[in-house]
Amino acid sequence: MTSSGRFRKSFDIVREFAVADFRLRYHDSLLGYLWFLLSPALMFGVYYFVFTSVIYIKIPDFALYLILGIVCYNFFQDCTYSAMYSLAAKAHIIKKIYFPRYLIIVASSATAVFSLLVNLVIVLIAVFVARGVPHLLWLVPIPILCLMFFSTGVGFILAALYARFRDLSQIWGVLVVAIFWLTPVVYDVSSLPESTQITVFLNPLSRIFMLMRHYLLYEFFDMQFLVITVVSAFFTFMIGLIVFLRIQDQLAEQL
Amino acid sequence: MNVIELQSVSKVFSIPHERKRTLFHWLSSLGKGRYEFEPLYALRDINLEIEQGEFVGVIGRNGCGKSTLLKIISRIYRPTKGTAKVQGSIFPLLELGVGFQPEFSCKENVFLYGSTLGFTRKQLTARLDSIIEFAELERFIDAKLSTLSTGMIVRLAFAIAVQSDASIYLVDEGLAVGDSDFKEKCRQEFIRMKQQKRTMLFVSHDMAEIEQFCDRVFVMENGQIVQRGAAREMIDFYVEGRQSA
Repeated sequence: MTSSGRFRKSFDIVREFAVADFRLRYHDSLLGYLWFLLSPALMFGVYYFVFTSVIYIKIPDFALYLILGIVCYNFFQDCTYSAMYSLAAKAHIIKKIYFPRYLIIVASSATAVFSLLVNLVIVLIAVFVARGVPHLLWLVPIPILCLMFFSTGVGFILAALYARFRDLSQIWGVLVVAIFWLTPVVYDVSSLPESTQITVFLNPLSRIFMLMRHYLLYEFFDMQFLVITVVSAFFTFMIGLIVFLRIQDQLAEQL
Repeated sequence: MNVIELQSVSKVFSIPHERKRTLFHWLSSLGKGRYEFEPLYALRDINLEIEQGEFVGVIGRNGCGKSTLLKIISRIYRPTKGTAKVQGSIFPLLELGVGFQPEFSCKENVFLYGSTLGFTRKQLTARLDSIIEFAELERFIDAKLSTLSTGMIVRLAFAIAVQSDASIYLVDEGLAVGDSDFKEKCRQEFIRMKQQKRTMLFVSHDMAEIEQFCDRVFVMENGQIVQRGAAREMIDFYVEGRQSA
């Protein structure tokens, strides 16, 4: 088979799986589809209330800052969880038909990416209305791609481990909360004591969030910061992919 | 030309005495040394060659390794030892309609199931009409699969399968579908495939089918091919063996 034919087939599998996942998740109803817009909006409401009324956080344009963080973190959570569960959900197919297994993870990520992009369009409109079009808007696809690649890389690792260890879902449930607070979603890194800042910088996800805000809210550009962020996101993706490709032939037996 | 070649293939599953499904289990057992497991030889030292255009039947009792053999050839399992070489495209018909979504319509399921089986969207669009016609489901094309009877669903799956251009078919109990009219249609399809020089490896418990279609038959027992030869003789061998056992 030619490589373009193989790509075509892979692409079609991913599309079919992604569309099916999306439709099944939201039960094919309009109200169902609204949920993926509504859940970040509701989270935003909760955090906005807490951080403006209960605990005071001093960040300019806090509403935009917060909604951007929540939309991106929501994606990270959604993408990693669905990757983790996707193999078990397709176990019956994996046991009966051979096709490259990594396509399942790619498809589950694609479903999450779709929600992310729709959410981001709404956030962008809010930014335009509140502050006008940012000068660095053309750079925004970079942090978005980093977020997608990083989350998919983590998803690959989780999926590979979940095939073997079924309690990973509980462990990941805790880790997702820990990572939430290790990432500047609701706070700003500069508000942390210097000794703590380093741990946030070591987290690739933090860098992606900061890069996103640099371009969208602060009109700030730093080449070194950009390169480190892109490299760390891509590196995570590659590690995940390599780990997954190594175990993908054993999946039919493990699931 | 050999399209399928297996050289001393073995497949071992480890059946742990105590199955560790969680990280917690695994961590708590780390201090106790390697945990014990029993090797289960699903296949032992299988050698076989199948030429293009051959229809080969595999018979044997439940658990003798027939399905594992098909899974090795279709790449779902990796052999523990030995090598499996396949030339050409494989169409796995190990179970009809795997991955069908009852919530989706017939048409949507054609695309979902079809692409898992290696069709492109373009091919499926072009063949949709013939698939639906073969399955005799014209009236139900937009009906949810969950509203169809089991027989209809299996017919749809089979209709997609016969549209494949694959050169090698692996069939596990494939013909046990539909009413007698539909069975006859499937039989015609098998004859057509045979005329087209396609290769088929066919697992069945239906000796009449085996005798009708297969040029050669393998008899399996405990993960080994114990006897191979012409269909009629092998069926006699197998049936006698069972009666005396």
